[in-house]
Formats: sequence, C-alpha cells, structure tokens
Amino acid sequence: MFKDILKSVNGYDNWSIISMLIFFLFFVGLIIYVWKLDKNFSNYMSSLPLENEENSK
Amino acid sequence: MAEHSTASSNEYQANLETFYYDNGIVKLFAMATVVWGIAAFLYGVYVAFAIFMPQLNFGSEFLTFGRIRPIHTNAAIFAFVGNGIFMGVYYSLQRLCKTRMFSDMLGKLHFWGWQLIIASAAITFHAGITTGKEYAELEWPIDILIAIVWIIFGLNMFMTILKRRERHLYVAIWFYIASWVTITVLHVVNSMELPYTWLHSYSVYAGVQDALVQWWYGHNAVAFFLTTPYLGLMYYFLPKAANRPVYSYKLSIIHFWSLLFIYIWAGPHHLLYTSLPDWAQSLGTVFSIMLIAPSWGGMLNGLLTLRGAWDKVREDPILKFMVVAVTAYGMATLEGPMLAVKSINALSHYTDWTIAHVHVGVLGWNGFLTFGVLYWLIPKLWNTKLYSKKLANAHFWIGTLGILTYVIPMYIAGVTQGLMWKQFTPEGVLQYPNFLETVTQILPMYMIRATGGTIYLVGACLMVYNLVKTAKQGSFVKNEKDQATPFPFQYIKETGERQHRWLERKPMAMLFVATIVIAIGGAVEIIPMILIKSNVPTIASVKPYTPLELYGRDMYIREGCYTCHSQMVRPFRSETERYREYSKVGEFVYDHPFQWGSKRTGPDLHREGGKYNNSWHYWHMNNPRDISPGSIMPAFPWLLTKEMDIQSVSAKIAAMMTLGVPYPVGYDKVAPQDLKTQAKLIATQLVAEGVTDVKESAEIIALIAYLQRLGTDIKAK
Repeated sequence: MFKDILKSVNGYDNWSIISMLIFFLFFVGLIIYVWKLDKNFSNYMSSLPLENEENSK
Repeated sequence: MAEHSTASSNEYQANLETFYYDNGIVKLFAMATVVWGIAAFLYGVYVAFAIFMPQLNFGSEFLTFGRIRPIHTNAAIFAFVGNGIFMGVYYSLQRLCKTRMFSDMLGKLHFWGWQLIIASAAITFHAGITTGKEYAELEWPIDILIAIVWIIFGLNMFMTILKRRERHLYVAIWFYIASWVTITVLHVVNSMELPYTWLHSYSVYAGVQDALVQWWYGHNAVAFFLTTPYLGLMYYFLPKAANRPVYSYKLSIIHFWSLLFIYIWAGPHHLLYTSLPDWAQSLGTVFSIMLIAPSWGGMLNGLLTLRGAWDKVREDPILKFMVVAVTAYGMATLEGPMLAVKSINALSHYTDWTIAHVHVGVLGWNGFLTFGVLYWLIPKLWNTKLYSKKLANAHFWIGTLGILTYVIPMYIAGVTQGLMWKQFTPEGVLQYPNFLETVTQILPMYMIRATGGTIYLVGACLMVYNLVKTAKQGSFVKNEKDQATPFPFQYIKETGERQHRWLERKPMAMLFVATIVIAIGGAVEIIPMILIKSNVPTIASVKPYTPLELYGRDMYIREGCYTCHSQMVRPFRSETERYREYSKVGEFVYDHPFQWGSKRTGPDLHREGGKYNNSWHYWHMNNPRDISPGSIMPAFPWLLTKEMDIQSVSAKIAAMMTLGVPYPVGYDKVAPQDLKTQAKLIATQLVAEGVTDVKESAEIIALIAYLQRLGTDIKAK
C-alpha cells in the first residue's frame, strides 16, 4: 500500500528501496563512527559535566 | 618537557576569564515547577474523584470534568514539566558552556511569558475556550504567544551556545537543541487554525488529515517535551548527583541520533484500527517497535552510570529518585511499543490502560527526575545542605507508593473493561450490551486510583516543606563565580577528526542536521496524506453540518465531551454489534477539528444519531442519572437555559466556507435564519414528546441537533 502511495507521488518504483537504504546506511554509519571514536575524546566529553565541580573547588 | 608544560600553564592562567552564572533565572523556574507541579497534581486528584463522583462539578460548567481534565493534562505537561525543563536547561547550559546566559532580560521575558501562557490556559479552559485537540487545546492568540516565548527561549539558548568557552557541546545540549527545533515544527504545523472570533478558531485540517497531524503532534509532544529534554537533564544531573561520568558517551551518541530519527514516525500508533489509511498505521507500528532499542540503550546508559556506586543509591534519596525515574522511562518505553502492536492495541485502546501507561511516564519518569533534580539543585543554589534527608527519603517511598496505587488499579481497570467490551455469549451476542455495566464494574479501581494520586500529592507537599526549609537555612547565591579559558576562534583541526566531532563544535550545523532528520519522518507521513485525494474516499451522501448542528458541535468541543467519548467505531465485530456500522474515512471530511477521541469513559458516539429520541437527550443532559441510574456522566443543566449566541453563526459558517466546506455562496448570511427554523422544529418535537418549558433559543437544542446528526449520513434511507 505504501508503495502505491509513493508511486502516485512521483512514479518511482524504487523509492521504497532507496528509503530503506538511507535508513539502513544511517545506522551503519552511526555505528561505524561510534566504533572508531577516539577513546580519549569520549572520556573527555563524558567528564564535561563534572569539570565544573573540580574548577569551583 | 616540564618547561613546556609550565609555559602553557602560564599562558592558560593569563587567558583565564572570571564570570558569573545567573542563578536567579534558575531559581524562578525551580519555584514555578514546584508551584505548578502541586497545581497539576491537585487538578489531577480533583478529576480522579470527579470521574466517579459527577456531583463534584457542583452544577457549575466551570468545574465540569470535560473542562478540568485538559487543565490537568496541560498543567502537568507544560506547566510542571515545562518549567522543570527550563530550570534544568538554564542551570546546566551555563555550566556546560562555561558562560552566563546570553541575556538576563530574555530569560526574564521567557519566564514571565511562559507563566502568562499557563495562567491564560487555566482561565480559558475553565471558560470552555478550547480548540478540542488534545494537548494543543489552547486557542489561537495563546498559540501565537507560545510561539513568541518559545523563540525568545531559543534565541537565548543559541546565543549562549555561541558565546561559550567550552568548544565541544555535551550530549545534553544536543537534546536541548533537538527538542527546541522539533517542538517549534510541531507547534506551528498542528496549530494551523482559522480564527472566526478573537478567541475561537477552526483547525485548517479536517477529519483523517486533522487526526494524523494531531497525533503526529501529540505523540511527539510526548517525545520532544516529556522525553528528550528530560534525557538531556538525565545526562547532566545524573552524573552530577552520582559524581561519576556517564557510563558510555558512545552509547549516548547512538541514543540521541536514533531517537531523533525514529521518534517522529511513530505518531500514527495512536490511530490503529481507525479510519487512517493502513499504510500509515503500519508505519506507526514498525517505528514504535524500533524505538525500544534506543530507549533502552538510554535507560541502560543512565543506570550503568551508577555502576560501582549502588551503595550510594541506598543512602542518597536523590539517586533513589533518579534510579526510579530512569527505570520508569525504561518501563514506559517498552510498554509504548507493545501498545503500538495492533493486536494489543485492539484491547488497550480507549481504556484506562493508556492512562496507566502515561502516568508511569509522567509520575515516574518526569515527576521523579524533577524531584531528584530539585533535591540536588536547591541546596546548591542556596549554598547549604538539604534540610532533611529523612523527609526526602519519606517522600521517595510515599511517591513510589502513590505511583503503584495509581497505576496498578488502572491496569486492572483497562484490561477488565477492554475484555468486557469484547465479550460475547455462546449464543453470539454481546455479554455486556449496556456500556454502563462495564463502567460500574471498574468504579472501585477509580476510587483506589484517586487514593494513589492523593498519596503522590502528599509526598510532593513534603518536598515543598523540605525545600522551603532548605532555602531558609541557606543564603541564595544569585551570581555564582567560575573561571574558564575561552577557546581560540580558529580551530586547529586534529588529525583524523571525524564528522560528528565537527558537528559537536557547530551548534548551528547541529540545529540544521537535527531539523532535516526530524523533517523526513513528518514529511513522509503528512505530505501524502494531505496531497493524495485517494486517501480520503468521498461519500456522496455526506453533507456539511447545518448551522444548528455546527453550533452544537462547537458546544461538544467546548464542554470537552471528547475527553470521555470517542467518535470512531473500529472495524471489530464487538464494536459493530455495540455501535453498528464502523466509521469510514469519508464521513469526517467536514470535521474541523476531528473528534475521534482517545478514551471511552462513556460509549462511542459516532452512531449516536437517531438512537434515542430528542427528549431522551434533553433529560439525559439535564441529569444523566434520571435516565441511566448509576451513570457517572456529569449533569449539564445550564444547557437547558443558556441562550445560543446566534451572532457568531455567520462567522462560523463563513470560516468553514473559507476552509472549503461546500455551503452555497452567501450561505453565511442566511445561516442564522436556518438555525432558528431547525431549532423551532426540534423544540416542537420536544414538546410533542412531553417536555414542558422548552426554550427554542436554548443551547441544548443545538446539542441535540448535533447528536442526532452524528453518523447518520451513510444510513440507508
């Protein structure tokens, strides 16, 4: 049914495939990015809220 | 090596800037969230009692359930949680950006503007001035005010981010940015309405389109008002309270982007088995189920932040509140997708199961997180210790007991009533054909629920006492000193820097990407629904409402009938047996706004037309218990005497014509006369049925006309 709707929008058959790919690749990309994230950087980022405490002491 | 580090340390010292955080604005919002929280709980307790004691409206239209219930829901969402969001954002944003807020003045304008909106909401809802769209009931002038205040907040937030001294944006800030942009889009799209007086308007969308836009909004108001800003608060205040970094920063990145990407699609799960096209329903279900993954990722990230610190949780009431809050978030976000599965929804929808579900979210997640933050924040702001840890612990246990006493009976009530609606006898007829039977069955559960709400309120009052005492024993730190080094304007890109780190440095790019991500889901659902005619098959026999019926329909909205009655017969045998023909999408094409409802405290009304005679409705509205002994519907005796405002009729019809309802050209001029003619006819019928003292110009006549019209267009003549 959804395919029919897309067809009637612009006649492209492979819209649903493309949207599926975009969706899939978005998450694959996100996971690869997170996987490769520099550990020091992520440690630095996660300690950001706590830094204030140290500064004010 | 040592020399080098001394040199850079000296340089660091030389650039160090001293500045002050503005705690004044945080204090204002903290006080507002406490005050409005108590008000929201009080209204909640009141409606919880009024639902089984209809006489609690004291014969006053201003205190009737249909008008009070929206005050409760709006107060809980926009006043209690809303001020809670701003409290947390104004505190954490300054510290995460290492700068004072951009403008104290904008902060004050934001604060007083928001309180003005809340006060106008309370007044207009009591007066019955409403658009009739759940959680978006505010009328158009207040909608405009919301937009202005929201932009002031956004401006203050973005300018603060731009003048920050910390280059990278912590994950909490992404949640704030995404929430701001999404709420902006939702509010603008769903509030598209055509004013016909300075306090009244009609939704520009009709029927199924209005329903889709409304629940795209309604669902994402939950997502981007009750959830994502509070996740931002969780990512800031939970590590602060536990004094340890968030468990996994990487997980928080995944949590953020997947919530943003998936949440916006899930709205149609509020409309399963309705007349919404099937493809949209399926989309809602699929994306709802996918939501479990990021939601639970976020919950685990919160809980695992406490790894190795669980001994602290035993001692510290703040952490206790936060742990239960995060757990409630996990429970509600597992239950939500379950309820979005069609077979479960078939049972749960329109019952108290939904009410239980949302209260796990608001009382547990939002309520307990707010309480935890307040217990942590108030001693900090007043530079003192919490007045009584014991009282805070007592609040924790009382609050938890309150939640359980609230939600457990609601689950029982929901499942019981849902099953009773569907129960057939071996002979194949409904076992409980009288709707009222299924209501009286669950009244004890309503009574326990009201007790649960009261217990929760008592706990919150303990908190108020504790916080006031805490503030009194300390002294308020209006401007809090801190030091930081500004980062150089030119950023030297580190080798191997990846996309997301670039994004974390650029708030405007983050805003832009976040907008694109949320726009995709909204566009895919809404654009085809509005553009494609074949989604709404027209039915030739469906005609616009007569002026009198339209007047009655506006009364139906004014009195909040939709808070207890649906107008959507789902295609189940149990519903077609009870209510007759299931609802067709083409029947709603002139419904600005749609009135499908979301809860059946009373029966569905879509096929109400012609079911009873006029005098039945007349006496039933005067006092439902005269007609149906044991009914819990409030009485509306004032409708029998209140005069219709015939002046407004031309404007109503003209507005409908502008929206494309096919009345003949110039009909708005003759509409008042038509209204009077039809009113006269109904009054004559009432007299013939034995009613004395009928006033032709009384509002009850219009309401009867509307109720008798409902669902009759497709009846075989």
